[in-house]
Amino acid sequence: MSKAMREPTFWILTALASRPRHGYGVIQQATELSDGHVVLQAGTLYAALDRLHAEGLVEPDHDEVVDGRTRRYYRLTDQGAAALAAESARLSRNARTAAGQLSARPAGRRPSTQQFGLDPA
Amino acid sequence: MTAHRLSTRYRRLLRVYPPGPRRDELLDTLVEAAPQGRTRPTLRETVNLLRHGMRARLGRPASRGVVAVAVLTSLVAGYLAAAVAYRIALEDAPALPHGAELAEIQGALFPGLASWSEQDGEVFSDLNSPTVTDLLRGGHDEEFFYATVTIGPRDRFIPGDYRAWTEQAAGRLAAQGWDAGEAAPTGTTENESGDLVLDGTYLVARRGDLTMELNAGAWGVDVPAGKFEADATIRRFPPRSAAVIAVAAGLPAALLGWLLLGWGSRRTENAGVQVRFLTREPVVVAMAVLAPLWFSGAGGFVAETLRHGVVYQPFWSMAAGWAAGYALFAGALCLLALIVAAVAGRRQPAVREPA
Repeated sequence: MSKAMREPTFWILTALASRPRHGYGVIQQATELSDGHVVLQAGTLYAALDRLHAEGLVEPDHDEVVDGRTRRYYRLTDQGAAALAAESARLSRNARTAAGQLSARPAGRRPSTQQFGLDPA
Repeated sequence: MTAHRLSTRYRRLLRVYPPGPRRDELLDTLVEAAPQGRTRPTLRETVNLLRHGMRARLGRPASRGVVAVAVLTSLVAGYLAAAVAYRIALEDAPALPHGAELAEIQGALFPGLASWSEQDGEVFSDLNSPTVTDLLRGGHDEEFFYATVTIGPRDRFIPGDYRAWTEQAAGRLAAQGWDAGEAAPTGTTENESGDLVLDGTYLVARRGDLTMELNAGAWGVDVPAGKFEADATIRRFPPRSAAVIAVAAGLPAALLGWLLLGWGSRRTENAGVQVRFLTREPVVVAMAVLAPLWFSGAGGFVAETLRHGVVYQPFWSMAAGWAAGYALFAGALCLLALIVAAVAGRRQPAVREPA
């Protein structure tokens, strides 16, 4: 069984899933996709990008020069896409299991799964 | 103007990262992410960049081992530099009481009596004098302490009761500005039941950086009735400036250890097997040899301090038992790794160029 991804890693890969992005683009996308729950710091982002690159999950796509500063875009590799898919499946399984267990609680003590966006079906 | 000021401050902060395009890339991200009107990095940003910048200095982003070795290297380098600096600083420490100051103390303890004094050591009172070969092979034993001066009455025995005398001596010391603690009963012999015979007192007095241990009692079988023996041992603790000098030397050395290891690690990150074997392995072996020196030295000193409250030895005394030969061997391994990294390694970009 593969190790669970850390949350920043998950959101960085998710942010890069649709298209290559540069550093600030990844930060923006991760914040937006996580409904503001994950706000990546620049130092954390690039440390994670270095690690993910060393693990073969992301790679540089192209460079741009804006206002005299280098802006590098990163993309998800096939291996990165596979890792993200595996993590998504794992999280989905976990969520389904938890929702199923919650639905088995007595009716009066059952939280509204819709309130949290959970559906055991 | 505001953006320029912020950019300059970020650029300064980003020097914590190794030289290369990553600094520029981070600057772009930071400037783009900063809200309008911000003129300086936030505390959170600063801490985050310092933390990850120092980590980036080590290269090998997926490795946890390099961080462990870097922490050890940093601790050992800082500890060794602090120990050397502290030892040098002790050479300028004030001398033990002598002349008029010592005569005043002798007068307070033994008024009306002729007394003797004997100083043991200049910096340390050391029972052994190991040769260089001894030090290389087996180090120095831990039996060395800050130098002492001991005083006592020239006529061995003092008439009277040692308990009353101790009380009076404490009063006379207090009049000279000493802070004398409570006298505690002591014993040197056991009776038939195995209980300690309390035949003496022990008292500690302090004045500034001086500590005096005062012993009085009717010890032994040859003490004439109605008389007792007494002596006092005085030590001077090193001045605070020695500790300040040790910290001032230790912190930059710890930083240098981290940076040097990071430099070598980055240069050999993508090198061939031979270069890695001649850099990574020697450093790991060196740290395996040197880490116990740090743990025994620093850990031992903390443990002794917690146990006794005060230790009459410098903070590196527990590490002195470590053979200097091992340390030199470890140093040679580190030097080998640095030379190989300088000659055979090469600067690696943080992330490969786009295809």
